[in-house]
Amino acid sequence: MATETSTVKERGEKKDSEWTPTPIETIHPIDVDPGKIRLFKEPEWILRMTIDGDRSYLRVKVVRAAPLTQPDRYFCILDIKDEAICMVENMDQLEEASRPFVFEELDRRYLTAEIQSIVSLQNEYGVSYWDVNTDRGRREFVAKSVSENAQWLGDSRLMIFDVDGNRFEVPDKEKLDKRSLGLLESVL
Amino acid sequence: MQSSVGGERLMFAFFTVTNFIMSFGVFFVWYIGGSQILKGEMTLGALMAFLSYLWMLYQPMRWFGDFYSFILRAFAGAQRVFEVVDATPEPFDRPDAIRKPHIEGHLLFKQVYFGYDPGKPVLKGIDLEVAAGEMIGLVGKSGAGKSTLINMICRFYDPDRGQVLVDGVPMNDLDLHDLRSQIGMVHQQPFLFEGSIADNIAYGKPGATFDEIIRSAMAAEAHEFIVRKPDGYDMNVGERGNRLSGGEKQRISIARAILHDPRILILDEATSSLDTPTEKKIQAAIARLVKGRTTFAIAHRLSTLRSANRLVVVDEGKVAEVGTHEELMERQGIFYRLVKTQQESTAVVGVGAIEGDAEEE
Repeated sequence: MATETSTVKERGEKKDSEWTPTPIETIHPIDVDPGKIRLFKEPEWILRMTIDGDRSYLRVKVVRAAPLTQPDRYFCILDIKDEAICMVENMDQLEEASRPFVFEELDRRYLTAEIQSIVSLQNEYGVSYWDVNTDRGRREFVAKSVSENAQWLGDSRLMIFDVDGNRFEVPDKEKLDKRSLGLLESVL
Repeated sequence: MQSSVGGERLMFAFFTVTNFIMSFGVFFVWYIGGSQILKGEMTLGALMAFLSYLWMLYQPMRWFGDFYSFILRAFAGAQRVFEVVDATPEPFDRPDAIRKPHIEGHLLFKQVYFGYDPGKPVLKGIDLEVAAGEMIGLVGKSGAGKSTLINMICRFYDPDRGQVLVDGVPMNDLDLHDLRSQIGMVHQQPFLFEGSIADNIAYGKPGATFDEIIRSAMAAEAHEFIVRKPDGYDMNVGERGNRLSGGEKQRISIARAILHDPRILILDEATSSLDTPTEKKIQAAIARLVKGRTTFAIAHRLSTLRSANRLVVVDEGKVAEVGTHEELMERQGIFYRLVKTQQESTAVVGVGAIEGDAEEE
């Protein structure tokens, strides 16, 4: 027993110097070569995809894996049943002709209004009522529990989700006028 | 706890008595004052002024009651705080501890005795050797000592007698940080923190890149459900992960363990109370996770332990049987009886379900 234990110990010490982390084994989605992906619209309102020499999908959608923290990287392509087909890490990996379709799809999916100033903001029983000027015009919206539905994406970048799931972004709170900033800080 | 209960009891007694006196006092003032007004001995204004003064007297009395209760609660809280402050810290910084930043995972239990209550041993002389990379299924009735055995591996407690050796080094001599950083656990009810899914997975390896997080989630069969969420990996999981289902939380916990890359892995009922398709997915993820790691799996559903290299049956604090699923079934001992009992109970449930369906039709 003692011999066996010491052998194990020696092996353990030897391994210390040669130790490498266990590779993370993954399956299907990552194995698709993004260079072989071809996205096109046929008819004009349906996005389709073909993986050259492999398979085609009659309807796909493109989503961001992390829309808030990694908006410019990690795009996932899902089939009609929302099953992940593959992931594209960088837009450069896609053929040039497919890129505009991806941008168009992403702009439509992640429509975000930028808040430029806050006209009024009231907080009653945990529900806040916002009246704001955005880059898309003046909007009124309601958000439940600001602590849960407002997310800081940096020191001064804030994303607010209203009760219908719409997104309103404050790109830099320091650039808001004094009154808007005061109103914002009163609920955060 | 006792002082807190005592405090609440006193507060309620105090409130009952003071409320009674106060209500009676108001009634008394109205009665006497009213009579005197009728007799013309007092003006209505004087009575109103008197009532106002009376309320001004009552307010501090009420405050005194609240204050007393507050003080008692503060004492009860302070007692708990001091218990934590006075607790003996775990020996994290022992200068003579043996450093082992990369353990292999060989474990040896030598006549291990342990009891949470001195004089009531839970483990009564455990002898067990586990090779590095081996998967052990821990089986036994509730209270047999399975979880206590796991607690010994994590060194949450030290044995009363006997030794646990890791790669031939007594666990007590091993640097605690080195040991704990190489143990991963997947629980039945994993603990997620308020924050994004990505942050919760990265908890297994601080400083992990986003690429590593995604790869771990893919290996844990979690990637698909994550990208279906509107905010994907940025989704806020809520307090204790309450915005996710049980199966989703477990897959995140597995992804966390994959990223952590531990040498010793503990699966404590990791696939229980899940529907069959989700369990199948999680089983596939676990099969990937256990590869090459020393694994201890506890599961009440004995069929889920078929992939274990060996099954260890713990009974009344001792290792009662050791062997593969087939060997133990042939032996017709404790394990055989457990399997039979489980099969019978499953059959009863099955028959009940069929009868229920028939009635519905």
